[in-house]
Amino acid sequence: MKRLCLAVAALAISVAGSILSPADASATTWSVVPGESRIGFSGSHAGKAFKGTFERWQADITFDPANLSTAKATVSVALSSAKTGDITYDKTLPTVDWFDIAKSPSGVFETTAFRSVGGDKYEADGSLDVRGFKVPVKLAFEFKANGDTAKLTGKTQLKRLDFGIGKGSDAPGEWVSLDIPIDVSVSLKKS
Amino acid sequence: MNAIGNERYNAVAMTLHWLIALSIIALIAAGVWMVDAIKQPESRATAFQTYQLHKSLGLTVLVLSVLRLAWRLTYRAPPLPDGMSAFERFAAKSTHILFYALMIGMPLAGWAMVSASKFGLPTIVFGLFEWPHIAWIETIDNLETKAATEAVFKTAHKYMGYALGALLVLHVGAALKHHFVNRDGVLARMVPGIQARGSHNA
Repeated sequence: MKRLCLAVAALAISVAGSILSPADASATTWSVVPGESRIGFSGSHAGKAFKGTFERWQADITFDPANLSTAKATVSVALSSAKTGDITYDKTLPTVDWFDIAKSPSGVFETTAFRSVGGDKYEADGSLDVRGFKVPVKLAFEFKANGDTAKLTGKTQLKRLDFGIGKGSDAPGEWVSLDIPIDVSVSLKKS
Repeated sequence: MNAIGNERYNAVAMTLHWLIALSIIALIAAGVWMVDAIKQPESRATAFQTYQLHKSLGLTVLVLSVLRLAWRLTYRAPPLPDGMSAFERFAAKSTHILFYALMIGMPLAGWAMVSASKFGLPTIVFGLFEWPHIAWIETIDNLETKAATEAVFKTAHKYMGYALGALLVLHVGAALKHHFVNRDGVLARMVPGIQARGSHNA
């Protein structure tokens, strides 16, 4: 009986502990407002600038400016949903030498650490996994909370050859720029 | 003066002839310009778009030429004027056969080289629908073999282009000679709205 009481007490303490632990107490999870959010990419081809967006992606975001140690974001992007407005580009991007969507349908960005760089500005370290190449990526962003909603805007720059993208067609970057800037603009609401 | 009466090519033949003729002239002009322009940074973007247009127009010529050949094999063309020598008849006939060979062979070579290109760029006909690559060429696994295949068709396309240009000069020259020197109505058979010079046939 005494042992049972002890066991119950221990269980109660551990449950309470996990509910009340600082990590969970301050964790704020956000869900993306699809119509007001975009992940864009840009670059140049044959000397002409292009811009595109990924039309399908999803993100799990836990972020509280007051407690960055608990912040975490995982973003999964459907590579087949890349649209540039140019049908020739859009039909080329899914092919073997570019996104190779048959083998790797999505790109996944996963954060490892966040830090504040002053005001509403932050940096997230993470890794981006595309086509089986996992590369460290730093996302600089601004996070403006307004009650139950927030706006996140950020950017980073990727090198397409890090992921083997377009390596067979244009490794020297003679046609398609090697640097591909990424811009994100995401509306969030507390979930 | 050997007027040939008023027998002319029919509307189908004239339409196909002139659509193909204008396309070929545009294709040669675009082709000659773009192969150098694509190498210059300042004209590269325009040249890239020109390549896409060239592919669309070339395929148009391929389709129209196959239709035209089918027409030509099922309908009798108007006879040549009586006064032409055996050599002239041979020259006229050979030129026309060569034209058909190039009008069909040249776009096929272009299609083959596009299919073998390492860029794998799709062909979107006038931005409307996708024209497939030639499967057995597109799927060549060995990259060196694929590059060599592209080079062969590229060379073929180029020399067919030179031949087509030369043939065009011959063809136009002969048509003008018939019209202005022989005055035998040959040109009028294919040009809507003009009459044979020296002929009063309506």
